[in-house]
Amino acid sequence: MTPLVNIINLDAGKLCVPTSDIIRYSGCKQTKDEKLCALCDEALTELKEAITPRAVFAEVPVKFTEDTADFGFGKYKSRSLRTFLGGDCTAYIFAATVGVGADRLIARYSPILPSRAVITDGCATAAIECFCDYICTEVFKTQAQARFSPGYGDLPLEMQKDILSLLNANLNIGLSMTDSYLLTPTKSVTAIVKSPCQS
Amino acid sequence: MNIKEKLKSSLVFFDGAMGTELQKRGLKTGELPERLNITHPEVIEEIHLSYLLAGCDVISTNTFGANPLKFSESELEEVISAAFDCAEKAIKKAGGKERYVALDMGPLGRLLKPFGDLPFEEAVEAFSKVVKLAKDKADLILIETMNDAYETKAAVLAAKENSDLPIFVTNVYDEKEKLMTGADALSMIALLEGLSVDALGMNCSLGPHKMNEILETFSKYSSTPLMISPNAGLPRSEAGQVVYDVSAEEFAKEMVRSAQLGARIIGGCCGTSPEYIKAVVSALESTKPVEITKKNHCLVSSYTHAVEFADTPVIIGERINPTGKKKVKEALREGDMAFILREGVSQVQKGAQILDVNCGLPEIDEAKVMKQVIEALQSVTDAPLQIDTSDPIALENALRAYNGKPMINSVNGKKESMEAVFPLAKKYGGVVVALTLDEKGIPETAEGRVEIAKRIIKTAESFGIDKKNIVVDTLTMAISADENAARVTLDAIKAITDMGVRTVLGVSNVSFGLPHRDFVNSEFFALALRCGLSSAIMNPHSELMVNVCRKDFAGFGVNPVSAEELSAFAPQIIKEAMALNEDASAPVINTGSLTLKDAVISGLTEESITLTKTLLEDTAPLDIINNHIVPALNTVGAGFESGKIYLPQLLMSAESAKACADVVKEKLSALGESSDKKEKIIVATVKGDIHDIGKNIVKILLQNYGYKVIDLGKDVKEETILETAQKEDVTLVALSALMTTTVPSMEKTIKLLREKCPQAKVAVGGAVLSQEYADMIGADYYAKDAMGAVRVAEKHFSK
Repeated sequence: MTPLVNIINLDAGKLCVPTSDIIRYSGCKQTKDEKLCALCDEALTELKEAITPRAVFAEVPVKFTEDTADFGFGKYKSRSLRTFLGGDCTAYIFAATVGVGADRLIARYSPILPSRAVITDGCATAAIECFCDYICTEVFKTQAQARFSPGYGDLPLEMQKDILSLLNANLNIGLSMTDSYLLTPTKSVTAIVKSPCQS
Repeated sequence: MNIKEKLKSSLVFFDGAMGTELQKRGLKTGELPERLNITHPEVIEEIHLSYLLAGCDVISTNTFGANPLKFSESELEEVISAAFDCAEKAIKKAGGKERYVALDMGPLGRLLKPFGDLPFEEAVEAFSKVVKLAKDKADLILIETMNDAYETKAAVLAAKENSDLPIFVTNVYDEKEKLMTGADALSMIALLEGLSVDALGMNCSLGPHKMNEILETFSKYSSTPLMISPNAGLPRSEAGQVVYDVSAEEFAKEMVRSAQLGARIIGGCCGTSPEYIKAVVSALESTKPVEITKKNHCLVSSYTHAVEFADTPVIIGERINPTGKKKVKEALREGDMAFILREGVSQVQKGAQILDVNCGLPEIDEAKVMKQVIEALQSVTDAPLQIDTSDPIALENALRAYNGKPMINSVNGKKESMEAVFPLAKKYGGVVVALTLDEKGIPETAEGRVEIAKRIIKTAESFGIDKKNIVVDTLTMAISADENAARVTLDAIKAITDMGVRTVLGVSNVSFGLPHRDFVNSEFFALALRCGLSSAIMNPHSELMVNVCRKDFAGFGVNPVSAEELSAFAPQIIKEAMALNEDASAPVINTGSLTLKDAVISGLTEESITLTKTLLEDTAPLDIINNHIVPALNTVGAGFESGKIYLPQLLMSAESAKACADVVKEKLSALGESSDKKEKIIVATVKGDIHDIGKNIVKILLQNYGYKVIDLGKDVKEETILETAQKEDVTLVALSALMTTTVPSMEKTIKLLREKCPQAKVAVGGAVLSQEYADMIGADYYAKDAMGAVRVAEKHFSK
């Protein structure tokens, strides 16, 4: 049976993106430099107007045979995933994106004002991370960072394709993948989260 | 009766969901439910039959995801053929009224370039294959659940180019009334009516109530029959089953309202079943459809929004045009896209709503360059574009590649021109600028120009192009040569406006040969607006002109212009222009005790430019670069390398340095000298990788240090890099990759260069690379960041 998928649409204004994250993702060490912080705020305000955070998820049972996890929709050999999930369990599989608006804004600045492109890129990375944290804490009721993505550790990146297909991510949230496994729009994430209520 | 005939006089009912019905029958829809056409034809047939018995007129084949990106060629043929077999058998069994089969085409499942990796023409090709396989069996083509404007256009073009079948298109809107990639309803109406589809509207995602809200916009603007196929409300899980919150009765009730709002074609999407369709049909069966009225909105669009020629004047930016602009000429000749993009974005920032794009230079391949410029511009700005060319091949290339309904500049009264432009405008859609000149030249009287306009409009209508899609340019001539010129132009504007047709003028010609051109232009512009002028092709950087549009202007025809006033305009304004004093030019920026070096280090661009200009008064241009700008760059570069300065700050300095260097270069070129090094470097993001931010950073820094950078962009094929390296005789190629999955194409590029162009050394960089990785794939140099790339270049060229 195909699992029921759920869609999340979040108002971008509700994302609380810390300036310190933007500074970090923009390739800077932490600083209280006023000019830089003001630039980050300005870029974030603009970015929030341009993005449309959307996510889709499903809850599936995971069974392990040694290091191979069977998700029902596919089997993947990964010791690090086994360590992360701690064995048989129920897990949330989700795909999230802030939409093509972020890519467009970065592309707009890239040839004209690369410094702004870098900061906008940092804002967008911070925004998708923040959105994922929101999904983990507010929707899945677990810890913010408690997620594991294809490509982490020894979990094959190929799993990403199956996740997108399981969640019908292209139709549901406009998320797809290139032949080289890049998610498009680029500010997107697919991940696995251990469900906090294990039956 | 074919479906288009039926549509003229009655409502048309479509079927409901296929997926929901398959799930009900316990069939796993999995990844490719279209395979069920072959494995379980009886089930598909039975679902079709249940909808036919519920009373629908049209059933959609189970081919939503049947496309060559998901199926092999042979399986695709089989799947589509089986789908039509199922549909036809069901129709035979159902009997009763006349029924129709729609070829159902959904999205390809990949994002198109520039933000995905699927080229537009490949998308057209994929849809074309499907259309070719089905065109002899289908009564119409339904393009549905499209969530991107560009992909919708690709599907419609494929349908148009490979069949004569009626085309119905429905898109998916969200709560904010936009497609997932940002297009609003108005822009989709503009695009789809431009492409002359037979019905348009929406399906999926929203329930009937919200969809009816959006339907009001459709009814207001569309002259095309409207289609609506909502979901049965929102899904939720109940005992492991998906249920929807709108009942068949409620659904039918809302559909009655849809019909009242102008929907002529009604069906259902996710969650709807034969029960829903039956309820809709019985509620509306005997209802006469609301008459479709012809709307007179003149719309151009991009992939996000439309611009309407209506109550406020439209500003069309004129700056991307090589005529009389040395820098644009150079940029086009050298393929310096960044310069063109800056021109585009800065005009939009200043208030341009549409951008004119002209690439006409005798020494370049206009057809090729026009397409490149259009694609590049639409990746950085969502302002609609005006394709400005007299070359029909360049025009068609641009019209195909454009993501929206563009303006076309221009057609004129010559037979040859109309026969070249109108078929293209009809096929791709567009608002056409009509110049009032013909084989005999430009008429000297307003009446003569109006006559030509009438002839153009009539000819356009014979090609199926409505007069709302013609914007007449009555041609601005210099008043310094003929004081009567302004009056003729504006009299013609008044007459055309009275005909209910929109107008446009290239305003600045009026002041040719006069001092204080900006002043003369703006006075003429204000007068033209009072005569009813709808839009101007102008320089948005002129504050005086933009203010005429935005501040002083309160609405067309509010303050009509008398004949006396028109006659008096030219002599009066010439007198005033002659009498004006030389006013102060650009606002002065107070730079205080700031030095150029410090200004660049701090990334203060405006101040840096002012200081450079001041220095140029008594310093040799090259000394400014060597003694001020380079030391500043060195300080910032060293700061970055030691971790004291961060990337955005480094880039702000780089931007300031570049602005100064541009000022210096201008001076040098006036003196017939150049500051550029002869050393050329190719930069590119490798095939399969669509990230280019890192590559762009490397580029600006290399340019800062005087290298001539050839930027090939992102997702660049190995062959393109090789060809360029050979043709330009380049010895350093800098490649960027962000993901491990694209490093293999970096390796391939290196191998190819080694083999065919051994003098080219390769530097690599990007998030996933390391010295170790670089050695492994056989690169000559590894740059850990943008300054690293500069150091590599210094090392390479010092050998």
